[in-house]
Amino acid sequence: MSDEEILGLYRAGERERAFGELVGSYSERLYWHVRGLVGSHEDTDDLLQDIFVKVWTGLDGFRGDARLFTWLFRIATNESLNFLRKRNLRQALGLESRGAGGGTGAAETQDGDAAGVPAERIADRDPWFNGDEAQRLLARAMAQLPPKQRAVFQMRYFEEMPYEQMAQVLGTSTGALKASYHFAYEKVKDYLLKNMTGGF
Amino acid sequence: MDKKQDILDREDLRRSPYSVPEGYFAQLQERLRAIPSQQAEVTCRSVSLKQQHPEQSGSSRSRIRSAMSWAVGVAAALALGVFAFRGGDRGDAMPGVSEVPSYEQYAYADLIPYTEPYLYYSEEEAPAAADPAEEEMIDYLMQYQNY
Repeated sequence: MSDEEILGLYRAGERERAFGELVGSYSERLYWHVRGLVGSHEDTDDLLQDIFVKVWTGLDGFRGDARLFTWLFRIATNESLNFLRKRNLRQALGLESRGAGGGTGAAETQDGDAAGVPAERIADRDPWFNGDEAQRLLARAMAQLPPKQRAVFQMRYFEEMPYEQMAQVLGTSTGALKASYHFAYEKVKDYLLKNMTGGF
Repeated sequence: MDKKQDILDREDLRRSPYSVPEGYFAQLQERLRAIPSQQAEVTCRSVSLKQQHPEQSGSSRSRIRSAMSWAVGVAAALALGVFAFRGGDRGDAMPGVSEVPSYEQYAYADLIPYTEPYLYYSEEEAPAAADPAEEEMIDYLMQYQNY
């Protein structure tokens, strides 16, 4: 079902059905988008719940001046960025506990160590990370980036989103995005070059 | 070949390294589709709670609480302002400084003309003047005679 049809269904009063269609069309794509930003499967799962609650409560006020896709991605990106900022703060204050599945919730620690998992090590502890060494290093490099820059890199490098679309999602100009992506790209490349071993 | 140029251009790096448990997305969609009914339940529960205990309605108590905290904040700001405004008069705020200039001193400092040094210096501070010569004393007295 197209975005217009979903919105039409919603405005015709079939709200739950429209929401169901929206879930079917976008949940998987939003999952991978959020996962690329936060890294952990558990955290992504929790965030998606919050995101779709916001989508449901916000659908009434959706005026249609932006595309549905853009609006959904904006909510998802903002929630993810807020999550990353809070996580960075918790880790800086030493409040993060180590989760068995690489999640950052208050799960019991495996070895009793209460020290927080640094963001760049989340991929190391995530059982749902199946990348090779190069991809692990790339995930660590991305974890070093400030949240918004990370979002720019994620959307451009992995999702190959056009700058115009990114500008609508992030509410920034295309020029600023190009500059941000350039800096993020260079930082990531430097990190890989400094940390890679032979055979890459 | 320049390795530095190629490292991020590799196709394998652009592939997602993440996986999900089997059947995850079907389960996820089922949970997400339940959100409208869950939200309706939450809304009903909070409405019925207010109806059951109107005297303990959070809204009136929270209104009183917010009004009181606003009043306390304003009172504290006023007290701070008065303290800061009057603080210079006490003259003992800064260590190592025997006298803190008062507001009046600051206000009138600009009015002291540059050509009147005696308004700045006390007799002890001013450089010791030489005794006036006799001629100067006569000139000075003759000036007043003419008036």
